[in-house]
Amino acid sequence: MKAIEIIGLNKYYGKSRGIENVNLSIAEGEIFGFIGPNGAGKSTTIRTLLNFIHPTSGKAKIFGLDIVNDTKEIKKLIGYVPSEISFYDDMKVKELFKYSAQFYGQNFSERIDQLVEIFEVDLNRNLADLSFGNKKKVAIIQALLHQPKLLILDEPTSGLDPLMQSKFFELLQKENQLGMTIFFSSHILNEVQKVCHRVAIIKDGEIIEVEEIEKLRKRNYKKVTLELLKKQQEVPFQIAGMTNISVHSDNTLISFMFQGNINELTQQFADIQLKNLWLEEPTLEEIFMHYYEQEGAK
Amino acid sequence: MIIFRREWRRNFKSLLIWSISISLMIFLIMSLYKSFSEGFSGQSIQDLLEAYPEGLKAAFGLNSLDMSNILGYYGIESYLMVTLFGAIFAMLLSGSIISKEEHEKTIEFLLAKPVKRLEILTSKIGLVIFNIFLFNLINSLVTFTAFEIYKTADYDQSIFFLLMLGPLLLHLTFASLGLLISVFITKTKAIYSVSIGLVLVAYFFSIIANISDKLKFLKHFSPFSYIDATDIILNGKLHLNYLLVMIFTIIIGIGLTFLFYNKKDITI
Repeated sequence: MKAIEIIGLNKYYGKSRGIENVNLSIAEGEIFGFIGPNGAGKSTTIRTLLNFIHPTSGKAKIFGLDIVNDTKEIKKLIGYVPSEISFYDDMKVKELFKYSAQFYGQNFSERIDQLVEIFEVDLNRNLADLSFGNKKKVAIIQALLHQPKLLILDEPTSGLDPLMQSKFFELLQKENQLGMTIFFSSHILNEVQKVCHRVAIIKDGEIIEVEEIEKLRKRNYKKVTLELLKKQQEVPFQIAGMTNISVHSDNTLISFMFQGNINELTQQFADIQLKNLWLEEPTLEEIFMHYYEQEGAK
Repeated sequence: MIIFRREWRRNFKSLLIWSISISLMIFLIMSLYKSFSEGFSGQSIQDLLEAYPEGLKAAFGLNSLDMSNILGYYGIESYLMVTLFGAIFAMLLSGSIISKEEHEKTIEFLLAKPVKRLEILTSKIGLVIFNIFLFNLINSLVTFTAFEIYKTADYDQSIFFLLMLGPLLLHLTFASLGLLISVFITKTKAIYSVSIGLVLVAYFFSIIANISDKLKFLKHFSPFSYIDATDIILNGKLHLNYLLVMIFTIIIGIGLTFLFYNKKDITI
């Protein structure tokens, strides 16, 4: 049985697009990354899965249960960390955990103690007084209390300091080894790369690629920018692996994406007069653009 | 029950403050009844009332109710406290109890728990009804005590009962409208202005309907007129049609709240 199975899911807000024809299949035990720029449809997909919003058309199942009709059953099996976190401002941290636990008919006191220790959260603080980072920690803990089979994370690391992030990833990996499936949405490819087995890339409401993280890494794109001494209309050289070539307005700046033998590239530099040179890791946005243009070319 | 308990705790203070302040006010007003009714026999107050403009007297039932009778005195001096302020209390409670979760963005926390929307609504609406009932019960008990302490003669207890029942129905009617509105308007400030505006407009209609013969039809659109104290005291009953309209409004309002909330896209 699949942890998540999404078939032809569409969501429109009136006429404006939320997501279009999303298909995804996530196996039990996977850590699955869901990446895309802001507004691409990540949160829409998650909110549809959780039945906060209703699908316009299409279907989705979580552990074989229908997201619309069986939403209560589904929620016994999942934990959710929203991207924007707000809590009841009249509660203390421990009261929130208690309130949360009541819905599962248990008190989880041992589990709370463990998680509180890992994340260094003060149980007696008022939720209203917590910093964004601390709220995030509380949100993560309340999502993990009942040891869900599926954990859905929407931009979970924003607000966590690097030390806390690595503790968090450690915990995710441990829970994953114990059988927890994790659906991890983010706009930062880098953090997804650290823990995920596979990723889906979403842009403008559509999934444009589903790939194993290993393969994505092997592609090893570099973003190359040259500043030439003399103005030039044409790119001075063309070798295999160069894509998305663009010559900027003043004709001295040339940039392209490169995936291939780095030595071939450096040899080319020897023959031209450079004023400056940048070799950069592409931002996620640029990788998207790259995929996107390739899609268009096909 | 989890959500009901939570809402009970969350709304307890406001219930207490509203109940105590309104019932205390009624008690104080009723405590003046004895000296007032004595003054009445001495003509001076009746002369004073004669001097009031007709419109003003009509608006507050001064021309048809007998202030020397404790029910009449209550109808003129105290009833408004319960009906108007109670309606505002009912609106503040019902307008925020559902929408607050969206306005404060806690709904994503709640909906991620194994609980159906219908269960959330049942608990919350249940609490609204429960608190409005308690609010009216406290007011009624205090009013009854005041009546028993300050009465100068026996009064018709069935009319007293109707004067207590009327506001309860009025509050529930407004509450069901507040609940329904709050499905569509979730910003707390906006919902408060819309719902309290609605109460004030309805109250205004009932006053206008009393003053102007031309605009008498407005009373059909104001729940305040449905439970008019003058009507109840003079006729000894609530109008069946109005009673049905209120019950119908309550059922439809709550029913539609369930229906729309269940289908609603909750985006924060």
